[in-house]
Amino acid sequence: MSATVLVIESEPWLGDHYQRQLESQGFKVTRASHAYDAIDRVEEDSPVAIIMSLLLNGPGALNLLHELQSYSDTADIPVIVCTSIDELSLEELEPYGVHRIINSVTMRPSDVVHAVRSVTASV
Amino acid sequence: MSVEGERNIGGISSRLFDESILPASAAQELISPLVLLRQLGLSASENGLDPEQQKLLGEQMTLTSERALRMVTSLSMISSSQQMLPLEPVNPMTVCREVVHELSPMFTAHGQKITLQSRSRVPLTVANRNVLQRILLAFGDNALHYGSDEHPISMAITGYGDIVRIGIRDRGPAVPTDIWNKLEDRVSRRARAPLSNRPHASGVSLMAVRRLAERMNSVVGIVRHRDGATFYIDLNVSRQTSLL
Repeated sequence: MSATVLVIESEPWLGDHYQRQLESQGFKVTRASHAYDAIDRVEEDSPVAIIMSLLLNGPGALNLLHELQSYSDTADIPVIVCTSIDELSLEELEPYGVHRIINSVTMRPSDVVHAVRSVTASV
Repeated sequence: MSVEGERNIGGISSRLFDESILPASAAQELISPLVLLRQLGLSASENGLDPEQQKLLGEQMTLTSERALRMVTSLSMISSSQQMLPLEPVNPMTVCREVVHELSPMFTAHGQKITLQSRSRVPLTVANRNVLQRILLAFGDNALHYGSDEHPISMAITGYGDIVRIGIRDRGPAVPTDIWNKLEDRVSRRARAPLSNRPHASGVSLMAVRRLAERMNSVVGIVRHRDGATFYIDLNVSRQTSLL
């Protein structure tokens, strides 16, 4: 059975892009466009990893990360952040469960797949 | 760390018009459509895509670049002219119809809808036609991700005596008052901080909107609702024809 990856991206076409990449490499993808939806998807689909933008509609990404860290069954899901904000460091976001930051300005399409493989291998 | 995921209030505040931060903010905001454009381009060049997928990616690239161009055009307009703009009697209904027509493909491609509501007879207003069009396009772009099947984005023309108001109502997240103040503080402190608290809103475009509106003696503003916001422009009714 394929491992499920949750993609949380408010920009639907960018979400489609990540989904195409992951599905082409055998992952099952579930999608959310905002934090509320993401909580539902985490509960129902039990993803092995989460790829998310920091710019979400509604409650912010940090609220969502904090929420995920609040529960033992979701705190261990590795999170990969895709962002164009180059001032963020992994050290800042690690307490929120973030395992990897991808710079969306320079990323290649396969980077999301590599990141998911690396974070799921390390947990 | 920046406060993200809250809502952009779109540069309506005068402090957001500090000329010194505009270039940096504009560069920051243009990153978003360019990132998307680049990823779509990389997707389009992949092997194994069928013609239908390639066509879809091509359409998405076109619509994304058009959206970015609208923002650049607004910025270009405010930097190219410091003078008052030439004004003329303008039928707001005609301009609104054109704007809805231009934005509809983008909205449809995102599974959204934009509608136009108006009373039957709308007076002529004093405006610069091109600029009014730019302003309404920016409002529309700003609202793109904040509609739903049940609640499409609606453009409405209403009248208040000597004023005609054109507003675009969306269903985005609410705008707490304190966020307004926080945003102003952050922008004035640090030019590179993201201007937009609303992820897909173009704060810089809305900054440009305010500046352009000022140059045709108009006022832009925002009405906050529990479940969204209305960005509007108030235009003076033209009395020219009534003198005939």
